[in-house]
Amino acid sequence: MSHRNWNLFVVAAFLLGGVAVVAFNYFVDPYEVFGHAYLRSGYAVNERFRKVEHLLHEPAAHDSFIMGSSVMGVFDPNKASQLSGRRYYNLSFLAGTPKEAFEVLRALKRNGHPVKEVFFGLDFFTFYEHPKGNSSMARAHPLVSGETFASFYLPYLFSSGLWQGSTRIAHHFQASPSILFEVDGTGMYRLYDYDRRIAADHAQYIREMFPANQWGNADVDWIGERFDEFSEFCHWLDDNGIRARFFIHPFYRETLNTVSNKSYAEFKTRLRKIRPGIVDLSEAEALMANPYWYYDKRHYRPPVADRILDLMFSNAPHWRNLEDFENDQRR
Amino acid sequence: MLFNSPVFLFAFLPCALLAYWIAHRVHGVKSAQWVLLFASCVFYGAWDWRYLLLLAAGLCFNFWMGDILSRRPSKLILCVGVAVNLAALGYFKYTDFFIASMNRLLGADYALLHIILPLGISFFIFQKIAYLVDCHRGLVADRDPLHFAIFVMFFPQLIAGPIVHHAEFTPQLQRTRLLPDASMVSAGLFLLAVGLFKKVVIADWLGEYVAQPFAHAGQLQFLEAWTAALAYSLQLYFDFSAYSEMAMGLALLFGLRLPINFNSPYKAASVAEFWRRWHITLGRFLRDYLYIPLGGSHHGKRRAALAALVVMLLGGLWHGAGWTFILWGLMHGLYLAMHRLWSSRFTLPRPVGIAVTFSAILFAWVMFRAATVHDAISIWQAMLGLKGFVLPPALYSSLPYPFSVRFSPFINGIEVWFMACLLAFTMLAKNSHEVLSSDVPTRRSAAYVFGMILISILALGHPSTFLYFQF
Repeated sequence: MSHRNWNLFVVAAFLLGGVAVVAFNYFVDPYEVFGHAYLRSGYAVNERFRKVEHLLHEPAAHDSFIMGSSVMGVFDPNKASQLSGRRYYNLSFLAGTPKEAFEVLRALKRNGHPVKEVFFGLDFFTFYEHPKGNSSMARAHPLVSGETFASFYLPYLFSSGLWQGSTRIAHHFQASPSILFEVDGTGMYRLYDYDRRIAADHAQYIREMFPANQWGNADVDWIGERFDEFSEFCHWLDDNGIRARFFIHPFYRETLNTVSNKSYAEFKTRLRKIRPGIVDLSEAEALMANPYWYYDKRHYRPPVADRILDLMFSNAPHWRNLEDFENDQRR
Repeated sequence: MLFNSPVFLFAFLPCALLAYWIAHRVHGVKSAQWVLLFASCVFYGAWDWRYLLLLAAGLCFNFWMGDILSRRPSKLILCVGVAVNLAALGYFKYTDFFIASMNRLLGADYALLHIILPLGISFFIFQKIAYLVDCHRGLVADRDPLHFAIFVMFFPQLIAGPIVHHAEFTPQLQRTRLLPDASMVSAGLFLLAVGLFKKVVIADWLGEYVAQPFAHAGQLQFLEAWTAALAYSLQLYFDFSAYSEMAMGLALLFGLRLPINFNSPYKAASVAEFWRRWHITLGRFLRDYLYIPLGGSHHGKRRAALAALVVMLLGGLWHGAGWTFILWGLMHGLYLAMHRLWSSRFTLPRPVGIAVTFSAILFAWVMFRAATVHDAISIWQAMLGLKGFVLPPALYSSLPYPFSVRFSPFINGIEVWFMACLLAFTMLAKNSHEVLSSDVPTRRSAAYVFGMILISILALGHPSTFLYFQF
């Protein structure tokens, strides 16, 4: 191959590669930030952007929010609205932290959006993991981060969205969706594929999704900053007269077993020191030992979420109510 | 503007190359040189146009001083020229460090000035000092102000080197044809593609395991500390190697050659060899303008050891205004002094030498990267097992005493094995220059480069600064 041909090939690769990547990222829109609706929503929606954008377009539709990590995605805001008399929206994010919730609510409020109530599920993962790098799926809305729209959108043209975009295309051509992020509706996640597999053979599903732990009982160095951020969030909520309901998730027992009892007790003590009224649902042993109630080791199913809503909006929420629910179901 | 940003790669660079090519074809060499100077001004001015004025003022001053020195060499004038350059560097880079140190020493409370460091100042000041010394020595023949302006401002080397000598750069500008031939373009494209891949795919990935651990140095346990130290050693390696190769590649696209600045330094079997491979042009500058004048080359071993110590101490200070940089320089000075004193008594087998050298350099990088001396000591303690042998549970839960497991907020414990593979690659594989010198263009190499370009473009979403920009 001559130098000239080699050069032409590489320059063409560079230019065409650049054009192809930009065109793919724009038209396929793997992270769904450009607002193209001709493809079915995929697996890599940037909810932090899309959900805030949705709220900005409908400022009067919601005044209260379900928040937290992906575990909160199955909580139905319509039910919360019925129970509270407010207008709830599910504003939970994948791996969402108290800090992010605080920043989003503060930005919305600053923008004149009403914020009356918050319903928040706390999980221990976000209190021991340091975030790494910049994920395109998790970039905050410019209203929240303070950056310009141009600097927000430009990186999405060059984001590594090939895999995410391909899965979006594949998802579009599937007969029925596997998952749906109802960003422009309730804000919930619908895990259709899991539901179909459960309906087909729940016992088999459990065998596949709940293998025994390879290790467990490890100590944890909790990250002090996460607790400081949670404390700041609570203070802000109180200062602004926003009613907040916090609870600790009833995680599947084996998930909790990865952490030593001593470390988990420390986690709860530190949370309670900041917010004494936190409802600890991780004492509901019978429910937590039964994989029937879970999608996977980190996520429980909608019936549990509905029950948690019932008890959290009652006068004296307690984990025993969850155990009663479990016993009722068994009977 | 960063070499690894979409704006640079898809807007600035094509426009600059096109304008350069058209100017050369239509109006000749001089016009092309003006285009190159203008492009360099745009490149630097995009960061902060006010510092462009500072750069221009320095340019005029040094050209004038060089003119005087070329016509009538004088140590006094040379000292004045060097002193003015060092004063500018001192003001921008060391004023706050000096005030903070005085405050600590005297218990005073003088306010810091928070001076913004002009990008690349350490590099272009050294380049100008070298120019004045060369003028004084009668080594500068080309007195064309446009050539001098390009020599200082040429954008591929303006921010982070290489530190070029006037005599090795400007003769290229005197050619009647500046445009590169096809083989130069191939080499340039290859280096650009490899450098881009190293930066956006490898170095930036490694960076994810550096920032948080070094920001929480006191919390690090055994494997976390080793992972952080290794990650930084490799991040700096790939980042600087990437910058150096991209700078060379870009220069080649304009028909100009820059000297090799980075030559597989982790293959070095001694610290002296390391400094002949890492940041080669800085090492050359320190050798020619400090080490030799201090008597390092011909006054016996003790003098050589002392000169090495002083040179590396100043080299450390050049990298940054802080005690960590000074101590890092001191460590390297000690390594070099020890090497000078011991090298004639015994030699290690090469693989052992490489392992010992890398270990010494790895420990020194911890000091270089840490925010404080205390942080560096804390990380060293963890690396040496003085805080126990705690590992993350994912892979290591079955290891016996003295190992124990604990969740890590920084790593899952697998990364260190990927990093070990990368380290082996840096020590065993051919580097880009070796590949370039041995390979003729083939379909296979074109396919590799195509793959690297495509993967790199997919990672351009979040361009991050080259680490050497901060020095």
